[in-house]
Amino acid sequence: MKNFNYNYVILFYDVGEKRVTKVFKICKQYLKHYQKSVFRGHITPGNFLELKGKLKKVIDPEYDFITFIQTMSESSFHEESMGNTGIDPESLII
Amino acid sequence: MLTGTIVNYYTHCQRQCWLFSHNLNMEDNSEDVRIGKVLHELKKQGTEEIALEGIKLDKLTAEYVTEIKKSDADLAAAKAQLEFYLVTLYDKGIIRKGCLECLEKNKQSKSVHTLVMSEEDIEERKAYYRQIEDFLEQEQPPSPVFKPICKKCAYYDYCFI
Amino acid sequence: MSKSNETRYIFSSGELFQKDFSIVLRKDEKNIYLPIKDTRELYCFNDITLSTKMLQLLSKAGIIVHFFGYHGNYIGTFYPKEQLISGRLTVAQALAYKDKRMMIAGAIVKGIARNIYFVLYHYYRHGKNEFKDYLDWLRKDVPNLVDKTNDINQLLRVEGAIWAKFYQSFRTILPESFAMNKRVKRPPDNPINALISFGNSLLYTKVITEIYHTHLDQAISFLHEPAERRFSLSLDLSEVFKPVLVFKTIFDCVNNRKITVEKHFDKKLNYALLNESGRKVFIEAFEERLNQAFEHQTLKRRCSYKHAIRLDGYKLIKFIMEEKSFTPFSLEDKK
Repeated sequence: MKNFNYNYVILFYDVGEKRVTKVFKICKQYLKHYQKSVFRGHITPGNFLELKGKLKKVIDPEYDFITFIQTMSESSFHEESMGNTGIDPESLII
Repeated sequence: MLTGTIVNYYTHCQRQCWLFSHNLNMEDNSEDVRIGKVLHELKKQGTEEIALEGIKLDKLTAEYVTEIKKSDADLAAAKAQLEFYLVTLYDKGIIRKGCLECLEKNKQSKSVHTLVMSEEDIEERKAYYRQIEDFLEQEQPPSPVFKPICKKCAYYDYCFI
Repeated sequence: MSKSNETRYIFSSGELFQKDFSIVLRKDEKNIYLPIKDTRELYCFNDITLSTKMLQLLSKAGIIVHFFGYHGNYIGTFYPKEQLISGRLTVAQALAYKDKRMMIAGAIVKGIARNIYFVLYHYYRHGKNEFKDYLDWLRKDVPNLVDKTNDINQLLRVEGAIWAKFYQSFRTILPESFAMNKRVKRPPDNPINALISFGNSLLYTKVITEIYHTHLDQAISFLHEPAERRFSLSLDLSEVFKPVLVFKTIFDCVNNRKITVEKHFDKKLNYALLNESGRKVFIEAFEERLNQAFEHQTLKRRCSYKHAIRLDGYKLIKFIMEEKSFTPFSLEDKK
């Protein structure tokens, strides 16, 4: 609860083949699919707790690995990219 | 009809209690409430919530009724809520002790509190519940009185606009 | 501002469907996933196919969908099942229409005058002396006129006069290509009318969404006749925000040449409609203004203009339930 001001998260996952779809489906409800095994987006602290709870239930803690990087908002980090991203999943107008 | 939440709110804040019981609920506005709900879900995973006429119990064992709270911020209100469950069960012939589990302890030194009620306690509480019912009959809620805790309340915008 | 995509404007055509308890937009054989937990409101500006299953999920999640036609005209709203209903308030709201209609409607008309005054005062201070008479009238005469009347039609005439004089001021504020002689609504007949119509429709839908998140009944209105439209209360609560949100956005877009007649209007239709890129520019500017924060003087905390709309809903509830006086949002007082 100390980190109440975090409203944005970048999530990376490395999970066994059998569990990939499960993890993918859960992430999709909360965040935008950004790169192959990367999701990111705005998320409220309550939803973040819920997301972690759901993921914890489906992964195998022995083999799988998921990292969350929390920031205040998408403007609190600098980002550069190369190549073609296709459609920007975060734009206001799609 | 009274519920555990209404009894809790009456102890916590009478204005909130009146608004809530007249369906002017504002809980949707609060991230704190949302966090509380999620923690509640996570904590009681696998166990079934028990619903009896107007009361929902987190856990019921042979000895205890357990109520889970996010924090011990307003212990008196949480205790009043649990007592209400004990009284309701008592009337159905189910006699239990109460157990209050706080997931975060900020104000109290222990996170688990046990409650035992005597028959006198129960009678006294029933009079208190009638008092709440009378209060809810009022045409209007009591006016808001600002306290520092109001700032974190889901009803803040409505109360102080 | 955190890039929360609680609101999305869909300009492409495609299909919206439910998959794995979330939302998918299928566009050109590609799936775009819209996370359901970070969605509050969707706008469709093109051909969108929706299934019942999708609507079910949207309804359950309390997500509102506003539909606009190909030319940017408002078509309608998918309104999810009401989650906030208080019988006590609904009854009181209906009674307030009977007993306190003039008080609420009058407060709204005064609110319009106050906010127009504040928007135009800025131009007056920068040398547009010709506004002096109108500004004096808004500040001194309108409140008196409103207080004196106890007839809704008379009040509506005052409101009409406020807007008519406001539109006349555009000749001084805006470049000639946007000057306007007369406000024409359906269909708009020149660029400025097109901008006003589009802006007002957007605001109308924003207010619908905010009222959805209160316990108010959307059909019981006070200045407008109830059920003039399905969401007639939204017409009421929109009024004082038009100068603040719609007209300030228009002045900004036109005077800073973000929107021009040549580039952003449909030439074939005699420039009487915004084209797609014009609508996009306007939406971006409008959203930015909605999400702009200011220090709310009553609540003593940061608040966005979008939230100020909801707060006006709360003020109305408090007036109806608790007899607290109702003063709609004032841009000058920031409350």
